[in-house]
Amino acid sequence: MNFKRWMTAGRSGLGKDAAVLALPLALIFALGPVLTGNQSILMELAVFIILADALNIIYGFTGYLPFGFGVFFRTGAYGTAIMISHYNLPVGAALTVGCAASLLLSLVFTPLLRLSGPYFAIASLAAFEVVYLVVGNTALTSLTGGPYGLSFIQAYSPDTDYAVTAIAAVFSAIIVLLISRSLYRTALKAIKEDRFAVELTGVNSLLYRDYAWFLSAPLLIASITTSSLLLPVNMTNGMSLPFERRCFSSSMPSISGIW
Amino acid sequence: MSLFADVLITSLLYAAFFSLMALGLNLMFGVMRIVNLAHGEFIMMGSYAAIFLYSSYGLNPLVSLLVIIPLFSAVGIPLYFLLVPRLQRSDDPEMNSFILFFGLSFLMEGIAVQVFGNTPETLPFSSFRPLRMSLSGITLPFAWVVVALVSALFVLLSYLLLYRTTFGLQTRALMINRDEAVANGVNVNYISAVIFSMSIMLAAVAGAFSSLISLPTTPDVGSAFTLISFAVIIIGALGNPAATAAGGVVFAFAYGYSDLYLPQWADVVPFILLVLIILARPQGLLGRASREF
Repeated sequence: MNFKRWMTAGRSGLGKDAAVLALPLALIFALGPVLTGNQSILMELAVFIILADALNIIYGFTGYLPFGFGVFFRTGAYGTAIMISHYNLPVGAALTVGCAASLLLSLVFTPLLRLSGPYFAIASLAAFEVVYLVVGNTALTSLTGGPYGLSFIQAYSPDTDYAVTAIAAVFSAIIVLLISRSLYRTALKAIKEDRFAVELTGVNSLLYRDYAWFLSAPLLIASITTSSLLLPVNMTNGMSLPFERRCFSSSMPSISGIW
Repeated sequence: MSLFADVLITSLLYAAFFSLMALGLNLMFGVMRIVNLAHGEFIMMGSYAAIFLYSSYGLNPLVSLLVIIPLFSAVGIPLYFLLVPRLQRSDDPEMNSFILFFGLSFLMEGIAVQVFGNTPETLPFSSFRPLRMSLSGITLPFAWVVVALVSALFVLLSYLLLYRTTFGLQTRALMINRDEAVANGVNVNYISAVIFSMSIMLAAVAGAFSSLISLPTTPDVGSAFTLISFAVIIIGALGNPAATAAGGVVFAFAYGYSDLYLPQWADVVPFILLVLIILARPQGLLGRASREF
């Protein structure tokens, strides 16, 4: 797959569109706390923008609906929390480890992409439920805090956290714009409509879906910069179906596979 | 009697209950290709209905079925005409049904919180007498045996409806090939509406007994029931109601014996089994291979 060609074709007007997209977002995040005096709502907005963008890549472009995708979100958070709580790593290094943990999980679940439609949705839900049950198990209380989770409020820095999340939100929006204007997106659309016809032309549809899967995971990871530092990391606010529902209800209106 | 045999018998009882719990979901998918993510919430509502009837009127759960069955059947028909025809006209009814019923499950859980509160509720074992009975040398709550027998009865009745009646023949025709069934004069709307209503009714019947044999009833218990139901139908065969019983048996035994030998990981083992089965054999243990996986 020629990434350079795929990502650079159809670039006409891309700069202008990116500016039209990024500037208002940046202004909202920059001026919002000053004008409204409420940073936490804007932080939550930023997190859900990132979540929606991540879901847009994996569902909007490929048609793969990963119920339970919040587990990537919280795997990164747990990875970060464990590094800070148990190994006293600085926040930046801990977040890197958290990112790596989430990416590793996405690699482990790659075989699920062989499935499609409701089979993928149900299999992903079951697979993520396994992670949820393992992490929250009382046998792992010493590592993950079991059902009670971990808290590392000592690493919380509101302004830094907000700035990083806002930048990540703008960045994720631009990434999705870039993908939506690329040939890669055209390929994903073709696979979504009829993957068997696409495979007959010699295209490895599974590989292209894998790329979307690995692309969405880092975006989910980016959103952990807030919630992992703001809230106690436990099952009930990250790895559970009720949290999944919040993510979907906030993300669904923006998911269309187009920009 | 040995623990192994104890678990064998209790797993059989659970298998019957899980089969009933998942049967409606499989029927709905088989006929309409709709994935009802609010299935667990209907089970939850059935449970609350039974608890309400018991606490307010002293009705035994078996007797309360006389109210629950017509009530939830009646709810199903207008709900079908409200949701399903529009869904079937969409570009991707299967995937859109995920999202639609996902939202419905939110709504139902919210209503349950407002009406019933968050306190866990259960039916007491004393709603059935005697409290305990002996079965092959094992002492079990009598309620469990009643639940298993009622579940098996409903599964059998559903089987007879599907395989021994004209309605069932038409339903199976729709499951096998929708277009050909329509071309042969099968009334799709009528069959679909009845099956939708029946699916909700079966969920509510399972719910009426769920607090006796499974989890205490809370507004958010529906998601657990939905997951278990999905696991059962995927293991058996998605779209094949007859295979639901097989899925129920496998899931119940996986849970029962992992609870015996790996008690701390008992909740995890059935879902690991589900993931392995769906990867190795996505059509389920009794399903036919298809390229649509």
